Amino acid sequence: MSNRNEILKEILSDKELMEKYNIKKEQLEDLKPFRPGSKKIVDVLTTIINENDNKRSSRQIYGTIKNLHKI
Amino acid sequence: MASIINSISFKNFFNYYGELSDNQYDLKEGVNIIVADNGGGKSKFFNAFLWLFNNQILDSDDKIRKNIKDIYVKIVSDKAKNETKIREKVDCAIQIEYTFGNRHKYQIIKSFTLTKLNDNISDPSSWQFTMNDTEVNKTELILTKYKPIYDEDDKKNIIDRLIMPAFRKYSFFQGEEVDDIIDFGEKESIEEAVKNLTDISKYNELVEITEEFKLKAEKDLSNQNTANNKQANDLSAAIEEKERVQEQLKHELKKLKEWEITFSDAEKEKNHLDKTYANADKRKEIDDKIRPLNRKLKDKAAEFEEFLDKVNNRFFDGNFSWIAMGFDQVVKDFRSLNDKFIDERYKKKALMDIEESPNNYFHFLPVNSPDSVSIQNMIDNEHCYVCDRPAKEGSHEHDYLVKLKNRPSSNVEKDKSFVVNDLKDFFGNIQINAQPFYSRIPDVRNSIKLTKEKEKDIKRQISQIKAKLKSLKDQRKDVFVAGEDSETSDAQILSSYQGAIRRMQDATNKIDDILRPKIKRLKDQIKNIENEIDSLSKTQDIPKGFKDNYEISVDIARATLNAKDRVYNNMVQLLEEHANNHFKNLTVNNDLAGGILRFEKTPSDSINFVYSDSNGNIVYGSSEGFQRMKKFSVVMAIISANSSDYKYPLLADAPISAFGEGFTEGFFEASGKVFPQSIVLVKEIYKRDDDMKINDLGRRLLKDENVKTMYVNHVPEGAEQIELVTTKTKLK
Repeated sequence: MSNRNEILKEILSDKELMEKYNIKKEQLEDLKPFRPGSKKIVDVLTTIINENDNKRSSRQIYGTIKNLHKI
Repeated sequence: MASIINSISFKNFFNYYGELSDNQYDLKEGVNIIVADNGGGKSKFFNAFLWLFNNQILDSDDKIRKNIKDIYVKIVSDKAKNETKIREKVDCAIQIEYTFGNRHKYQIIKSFTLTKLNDNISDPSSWQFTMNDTEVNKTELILTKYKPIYDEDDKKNIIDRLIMPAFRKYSFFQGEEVDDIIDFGEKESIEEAVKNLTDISKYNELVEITEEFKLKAEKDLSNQNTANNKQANDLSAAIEEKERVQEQLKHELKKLKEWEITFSDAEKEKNHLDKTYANADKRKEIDDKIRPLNRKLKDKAAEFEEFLDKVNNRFFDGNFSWIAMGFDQVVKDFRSLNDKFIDERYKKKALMDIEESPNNYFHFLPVNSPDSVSIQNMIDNEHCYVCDRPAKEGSHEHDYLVKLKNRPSSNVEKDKSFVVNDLKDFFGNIQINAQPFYSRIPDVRNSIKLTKEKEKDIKRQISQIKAKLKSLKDQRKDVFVAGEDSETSDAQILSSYQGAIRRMQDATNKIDDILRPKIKRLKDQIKNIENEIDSLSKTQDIPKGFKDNYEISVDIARATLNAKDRVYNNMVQLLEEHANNHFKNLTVNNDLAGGILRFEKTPSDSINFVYSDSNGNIVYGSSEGFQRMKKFSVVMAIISANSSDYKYPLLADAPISAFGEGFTEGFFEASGKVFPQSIVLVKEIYKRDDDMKINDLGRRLLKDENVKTMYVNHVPEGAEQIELVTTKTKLK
C-alpha cells in the first residue's frame, strides 16, 4: 500500500470521525474514493493528501475541494 | 532490494602495498569480519569508504578528516613511494564492487597519481599530485564485462545508492562516533530519527493545510450568510465570538511556545552540564591514571640514563672489563714477551755489574781488604804493598788503588742504569693493572649479553608505559572532543546546573498547570461555538455545499492533528520496544543485567531518553560499554523499526573497542539480524600468539553461520615504516 493510502487510512481511523460519517473498520482496508457511493469526506481527504503530494499550492487544492462540493 | 558490497581492493593505499588484485577482500551478504591488531590496517580499510563517500581521509595523527588533496603524501604506501624513482609515477587507488538487487553490479574506482620530484618522500613538495576521474562501471550480473558510466550525475547516484547520504550516519561509523549519532543530550536526535522513519513531516504539512481549509470554509460560509434575521445575527455573533476566542488561543499558544523554548533551553543547558560533569569526572579518572604513569616513565627514563652511563664504565671497570674482550691471545703473547724481556734484562744487568764491579764477581783479595788506611798509605807512597810493585800517580796501578779506596760500602750499586730506558716496571705495571681485566675475559661476552637484555627490558618497559600513556591521552582527547574542557569552577557549574533545573521546573509548572489547561479550555470553547455555528448554518438558507465544506473541513482538521500525534507516539513506542530488544541482545552475554530504555515525552513535546532499572529507578553512571550499547540499541532500533527492510550495509570500524567479549559477541549477533550486510573491523578477537591469530571468541564466530567471511590482517613485527606492508589471511 502506498504512503498516501497509509496516511488516508490513519487519519480516517479517528474514532469520532468513523462514528460521525459511519465508516466501518473493514471499509478502511479498502477505501475507494471517487467511486459511485464513496463518502465525500474520503474524497476530500484523498484530494488534500494527493494534491499536496503533487506539490500543488493550498489555494489550488482548496479550489478542487470546492469543485467537489459543487460550490 | 539491498546494496551488498562484493569486494573492496586497495592499491598502494596506506600499508596496503601493491596492486588492487594483491589487496582484494571478497565480501558477502551477512556478517563479514576483518580482524587486525593495532596498526593492522583497520582504520585504513574504513578510510577507503570515507574517500568513496566524502573525498576525505581521517588523519590518524590529529584525528581530523581531511580532503585527499591535503593529505595525499600520507595516503600512499611508504614502500611504494620509496621504490618509485625520481620522475616516475606511483598510483594510489581504492576499488569497490557492489550489487543492488539481483540484476546489476557496479564497480567504483577512485584514484590519484603522484610523480616523484625528489627523494624526500614524506615531503608533499617532493611529489606532483594528480587527482584522477572517478571511474564508475556497471554490468548485468549475468555478464562478466563492465561498461563505463560517463554521466557525472549517474556516477554520483551509483555511489549514493550504496548507502544513501541520509542513512550514512546509522550505517557508516567509526568507533566512538556511535556516541554522536544518538546524542542523548540533544533531544533533536531521536526526533530527527522519528522524522526520518515516519511520514511525520507529511502529517505536519497536512495539519497546516487542513487548518487553513477550515478557516477558508468558515469564511466562505460566513459570506453566504446574507439573510437579515435573528438566526443570521446569532450566526454572525457566534462566528465573531469564535474569532475572538481563536485570537485568545493564538495568544496563549504563542506564550506556550515561548515557555517551551525556555524549557527546552534550560533542558539543553542541563544536559550539557550533565555531560561536562561526566566529562570532568572522566577526565579526573584518566588524569589519576596518567599522573603515576608519568612519574613511572620519568623514573624509568632516569634509570635508562644511569644504565647508559654504567655501560660506558663497564669497559674500564675491573668487575666487567669489556675492553679486554678478544684479548685472550694478546695476554699470552704479552706474558711470553715479558718473560723474554726480563731474561734479557737480567743478562744485561749481570754483564754490566761484572764490568762495573769485577771484584764483586772475581775475588783476588778477601772482601773489604786491604783496609782503607793501608790503601791510603799505598796511595801516598805510590807503591802497592799487596803485589809489591810501584804505583806512580797517573799510572793504571795508582788509579786502581784510588778506585779501590772509593769503592762503595755496599755490594750492589742499585740506581745505576744499565739500559737507556728500563721498561721493567712499565711492563710489570701493565701486567699488574691488566690482571683484573684478563682474568674476566671469559665472562665478558656473557656480561655484554646480559647488559643488552637489560637494555631491551628497560626499553620495553618504557615503550609499554608510553603506549599506556598514549592510549590514556587519546581517551582524554576523546573526552575533550565529546564535551569541552571547561575552565569553570565546580561551584559555578553546580550553580548553573541548579539554575537550569529551576528554570525547567518553572517552565513545567507554567506549561502544565496554567497554559495547557487554559488552551484546552479555549479549544473546548471553540469546539462548542463550532457546533453552534454548524447547527445555526444548517437552518440558514445556505447552499448545502458550503455547509458540507465547513463541516468536513473542521472534522478533517481535527482528525489530521490527532493522526499526527498518534503516528508520532506510536513510532516512539515502537522505537522503545525495538531498542530494548536490541539492548537485551547486545548485553545478553554480560553478567551484569542491563537496565530498561524508556523514551519519555517532555513538556516541550520533545523526547527524553531515560535508562532505568526494572523497578523504574533511573540508572546513572553505568559503564562505558553499557552506555555505548544503549546508544547502539537506539541506532539499531531506528533501522529495524523502519517498516521496510533496511537496504544498506553496516560499515563499522572498532564500534565496540575495549568493552569486553560479552559486548563483542552480542554486537555480532544483533547486527547480523538488523543489517543485510555488516562489515566490521575489530581487534578484540585478535590474538598474536595463536596460529590463526584469533582468540576463542574468534573461533566461535568463525563457526557461526551468520558470519560469512573472516579475514585476519598481518603486519611484520618491528618493520621499518618503509617496509610496512599489510597482508591478509582469509579464514572463511
